[in-house]
Amino acid sequence: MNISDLVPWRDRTSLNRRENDSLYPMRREMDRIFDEFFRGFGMDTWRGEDGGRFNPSLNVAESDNAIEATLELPGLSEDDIEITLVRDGLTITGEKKDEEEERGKNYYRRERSYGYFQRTIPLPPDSVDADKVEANFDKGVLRITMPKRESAQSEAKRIAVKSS
Amino acid sequence: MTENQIMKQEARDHDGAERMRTQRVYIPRVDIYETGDDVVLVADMPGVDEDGVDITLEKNVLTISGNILPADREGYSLAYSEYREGDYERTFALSNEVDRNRIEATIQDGVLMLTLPKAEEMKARKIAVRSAA
Repeated sequence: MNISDLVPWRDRTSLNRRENDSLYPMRREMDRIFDEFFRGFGMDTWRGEDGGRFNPSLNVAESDNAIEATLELPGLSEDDIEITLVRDGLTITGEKKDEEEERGKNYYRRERSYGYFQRTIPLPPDSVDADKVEANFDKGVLRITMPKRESAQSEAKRIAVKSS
Repeated sequence: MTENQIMKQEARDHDGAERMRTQRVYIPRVDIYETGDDVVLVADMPGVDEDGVDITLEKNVLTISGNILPADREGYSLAYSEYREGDYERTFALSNEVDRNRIEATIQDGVLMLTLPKAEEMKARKIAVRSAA
C-alpha cells in the first residue's frame, strides 16, 4: 500500500501553492499531523515523486529452455552494473552516474534521473543453470539470458482425450 | 514505498500523418543545460546506435530521432513487461543563439549527446572595468 494513498491531497510537486486558498492552512496542518504520525513508526516521510531516483524498466521473457531479462539502462557501462544470481532470484544493482559536475552547468531541463538502483527477479528455486547464465550490454540495454536446468524445462505432456 | 517507474511517453503523430515504420514511437527524456560556450542536450534512447540516430535541423526546428532494431523474439514469450521497445523522436525549437554549423553529436550506450555551440556574438563577454579618474 502506497503511503501516498492515505494523503491524496498531498502534492509536493504542485507549483501553485495557493497560500490564499482558505483551505491551505488546514491542508498544511493535516500534512504535519500525518508526518508526525508516520515518523513515530520509524517510516520515512513520503519523498517527492521522481526525486531524481533512477528506476530502470524491466522485461522478462520465457522460452522453452531459457529465461531472458532485459533492462533499459541508458548511459551506464558494464562496470556500473552488478548481477548476482542466488537460488531463488536474480538481482541487478548498479548506479547511473551523473556526468561530471562541471562548473557552470545551468540546467534548462532535467528529465533524466540518476542514482543507485536495484531490481530483483524472483525465479523458481534451482530452475536456472547458474554456470550458463550470460549477460550482454549493448546500446544501453542489458540482456541476461538464463538457460533453464534440464529438470525445469517444460515437459508439456499432451493429454489424450478418450471417449468413454 | 514504490518509487516512480520510468514510464516511456508515446509520441503523437505529426498532425495525424502516419509513420512509415510500424514501430511505436516514444519521447526520449532529455537534459538540457548550458555551459559557458555551449548548449548541451542529452537524450536517453536505449537501443539506438549511431546507425539508427538521425538529427535534422530545418529553419528553427531541431528534430532528434532514433530507430531501433527490434530484438529477435524467436521462441520467447513475454512473461512480464514494464516497457515496450520502440523508436524515439523529439523536436525542439532552436534559438538564434546557436551556431548551426558547429553542432556536434555523439551517441554511446543509448545516450545521445548534442553539443550546440553558442554563436560568437552570444557568448557572455567580460567587460573590463576601468576606473574613471
